[in-house]
Amino acid sequence: MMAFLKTAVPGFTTILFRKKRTRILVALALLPWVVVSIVKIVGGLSPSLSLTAAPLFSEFVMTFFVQFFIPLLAVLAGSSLIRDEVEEKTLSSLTCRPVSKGNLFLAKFLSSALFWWAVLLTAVTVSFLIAYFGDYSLFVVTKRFLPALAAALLAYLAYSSLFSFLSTFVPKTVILGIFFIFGWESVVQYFPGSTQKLTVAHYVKSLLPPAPMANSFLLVQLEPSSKLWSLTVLLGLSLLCLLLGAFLFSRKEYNA
Amino acid sequence: MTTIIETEGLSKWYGPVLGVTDLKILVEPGITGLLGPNGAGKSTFLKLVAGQLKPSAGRVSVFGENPWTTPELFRKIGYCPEAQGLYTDLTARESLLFLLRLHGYREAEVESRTLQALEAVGLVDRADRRVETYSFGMKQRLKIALALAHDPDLLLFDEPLNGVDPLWRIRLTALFESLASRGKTLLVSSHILPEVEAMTRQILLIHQGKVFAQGEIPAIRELIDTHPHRVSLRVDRPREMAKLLLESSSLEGLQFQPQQEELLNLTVTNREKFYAFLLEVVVRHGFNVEEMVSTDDNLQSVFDYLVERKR
Repeated sequence: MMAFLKTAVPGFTTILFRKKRTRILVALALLPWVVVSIVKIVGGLSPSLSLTAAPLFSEFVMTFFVQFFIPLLAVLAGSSLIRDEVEEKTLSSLTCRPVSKGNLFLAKFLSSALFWWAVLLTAVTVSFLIAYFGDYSLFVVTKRFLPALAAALLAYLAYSSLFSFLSTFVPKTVILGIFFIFGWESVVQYFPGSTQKLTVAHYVKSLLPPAPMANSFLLVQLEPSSKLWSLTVLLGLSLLCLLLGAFLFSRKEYNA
Repeated sequence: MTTIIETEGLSKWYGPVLGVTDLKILVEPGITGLLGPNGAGKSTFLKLVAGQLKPSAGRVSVFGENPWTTPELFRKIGYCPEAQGLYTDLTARESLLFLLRLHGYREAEVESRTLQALEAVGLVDRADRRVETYSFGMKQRLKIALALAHDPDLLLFDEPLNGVDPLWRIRLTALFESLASRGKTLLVSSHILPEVEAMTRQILLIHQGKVFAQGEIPAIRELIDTHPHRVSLRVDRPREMAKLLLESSSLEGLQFQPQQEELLNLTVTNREKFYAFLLEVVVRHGFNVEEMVSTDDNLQSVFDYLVERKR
């Protein structure tokens, strides 16, 4: 399996990187750099604006990533995992190779996940470095940056696993995904009680460090789950979706 | 001879739509032409053999194994689908390298097989150009290269010469023949009889999802030659021509085209004999033939005729 992944992953990554859609999404991931840089420059020129690093990073950068960009990216990346091959009729080129379909599914997912993790890692890290310019204390790195980075990477894993699984049998996964992310998740995560726990966003936000501002948008977590439980749920959901996705993909026929 | 492909009661439906039904086929080494009009079920049959579709009923076995459940079998199968399913953002070389690596070959072998496949289809000098810049014919050749790069024992080609220029048609036909002479089994689908006739004598006729006939081309040719053909003839003196043509024993029917009396619609039984008779009439009586069209000289009309005859 490892030898297969070693040969398959670079190929799938090249195919992914060559797509125009991928390059647009990479550019979008780097947008916070520009905004944070502008805000820092404006803040430096006008000290009366009192823009501190912590809210800038947690309110703007992480809100952008966790509430908007990562779910959107995961919907697009996850739903295109199998659908692109079916719609572009390239699936038969892959499935007539001496590799099980389940392994192909996992290799494709891993290529996509590694690529987008690298993009997210770079985007979040550089945004952090700009926002906290001149204040890279151990506290800031361990209590603000690392938990935020871990939440971002886990959010991508959980959402993209879910949509990759759905893409094996739902024809228009993007539409379903957009509805789920910007309909269901955006509303239900603010419901009190246990209903909010039916969203991925709830567990992702439970992993984020407490926001420094009292009325923080991201802090609207009425009853956050424990970090350990959130981690378990996100990893468990990802694993379950990937196994089910590989299973379904190997049994379903696609007339491509 | 060894049986490479064997099917028994093989059927495939797409919901209520019939793909193929109750196919009992044996394919042996060499080239077998899979002939049938568009929509006959050729692609469905090839997809079933290539493990891309699961049979609705019956079974298909390739080298004694089920292609739907045995990925290892694809070391011995090369499949060239009809659809233009290529990674258009990659170059031809990258496409071959990527797909060959999935076979687990060592890097040196991947590279040498890639080069051999590119040479076989004449794409070496354009190997580093993105596939999206290729013409339709070049894409067809790349698809063929992808199917044969791992040197499989069974090659399944779905309309491989579609869109290929005449020179490359000849070269690819020669390539298929050389593969067959090395003991490979090739199943080549087409809806054009002369295309298949150029590479093999062994054919399998499929129509409306069923095997219509299996055998050697001369037997099929005979059926085609005796099938009534429709011929349209535009001449300067149509009534005089009609009177003379009625003397031909090969003429089965004659009609003047309404509102276009100079156009005769003929039904002939033996084309060769009729054309010889027509030529003699034209030369002897000095007719001016402006146009002559055989309106149904295609596989679909032959099949329609054979189906009618079988009823």
